[in-house]
Amino acid sequence: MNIVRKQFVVMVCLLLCVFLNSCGSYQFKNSQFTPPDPAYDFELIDQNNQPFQLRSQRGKVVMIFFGYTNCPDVCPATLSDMQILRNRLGTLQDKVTMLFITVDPERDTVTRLKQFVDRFDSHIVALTGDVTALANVYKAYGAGAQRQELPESALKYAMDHTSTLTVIDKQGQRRLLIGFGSDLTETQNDILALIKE
Amino acid sequence: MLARIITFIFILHFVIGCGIIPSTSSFNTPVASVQTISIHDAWVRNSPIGDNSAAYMTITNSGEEDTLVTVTGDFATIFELHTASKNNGMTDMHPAEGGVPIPAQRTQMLKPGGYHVMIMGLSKNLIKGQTVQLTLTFAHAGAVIVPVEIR
Repeated sequence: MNIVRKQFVVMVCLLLCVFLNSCGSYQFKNSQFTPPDPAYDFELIDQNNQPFQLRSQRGKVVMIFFGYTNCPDVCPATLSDMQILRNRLGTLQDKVTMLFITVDPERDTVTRLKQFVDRFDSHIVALTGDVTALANVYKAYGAGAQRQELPESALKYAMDHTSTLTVIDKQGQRRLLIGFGSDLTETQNDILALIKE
Repeated sequence: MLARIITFIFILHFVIGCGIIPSTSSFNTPVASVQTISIHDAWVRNSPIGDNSAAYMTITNSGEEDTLVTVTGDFATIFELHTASKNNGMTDMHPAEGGVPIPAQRTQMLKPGGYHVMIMGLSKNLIKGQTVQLTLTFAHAGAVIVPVEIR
C-alpha cells in the first residue's frame, strides 16, 4: 500500500468515527421527565381575550413559563430568551408554541399581558384565567406561585414562582425542564430534536 | 499531511459535537471607576414608560472589601437593590439587605437571576441602543456616575 492510499484509508476511518459519534441518538442537555408523563390539559384566556386550550397544540412542541408582568428581572430575562430562541428557529418557528402563564392574575389583566409580551414577541401566548383554573395549572406544573409581601420594597409584593420552563412534546407528553439561565444553544438543540421526532 | 488531516478531523469533531461555539466576550475597558472599584458592562433592559426594568453590571474591586449601598437615577421613581435566589427551581426575589457586598480583590456580578438593580415606574421609554445614567454609591469608595446601555 503506498503512502497516499494509506493516508486516504486513515482519513476515511477517522471521518467515519466522527460521523458515528455525532449521529448517534440525540442526548438531551436539559433535565428529562423519565418516563414522560401526559401534560395536564387546561383552558385559559389569551392576551387577545380568546380561549386557549393546551390540547389544540398537539403536533407542536410547547414551552410553558410561569411569571408576572411586574417581575423586573427573571421574567423579562426569560421572555427575552424565548424571543431569541424563536428567531433562531427560523422557518421552524411555527412548530413551537411558547406560553407565558401569569402567577399574578390580580394585576395582570389581558391588556397588561398583551403589552408585556408585545415587548418581546407577540407570538408568545400570554395566559390568564379564573382563579380555580389557574390554581389547577400551577399545581399540575409545580409553578408554586406564592405571594411574598415586601413591605420594605416599592414592589409591595412579589410572586415567588418557579423559574423553570416545562417543555411538552408533539404528543402532549411532558419531556423537559429547563432551568433559568440554561445555555440557549443547548436548549435550541433540545427543541430541534423534539421537533424532528 | 497526516498531521493536517488529524488536526482537521479534530476541529471538525469539535465543531459538530459542540454545535455553535459559545462566544467569549472580551474584557472591555471599564465604563466608570472610583478609587479601587471599576464598573464594566453596565446595561439596563429596554422597557416602556410606566413599566419596570432591571439594570446589571460587573463590579471589580482591586482594594479592600466594600458594599454597593444605593443606586439612583432620574429616569424612574424607584431604584432598589434586589437579589433573586433559586430554591428547588423556585425563584424568590427580595431586597438585598444592607446592599450588595463587593468583596476585596474580587468581581461581583449583577446579573439576571441574581443581584440586580430593580427599577420601577419608568418616567421615560428605555429604547434599545440609547444610554441612561445611574449613580452608584459605595460605602467606602463613595459615589460614581455610570453610563448604562439600554439593551
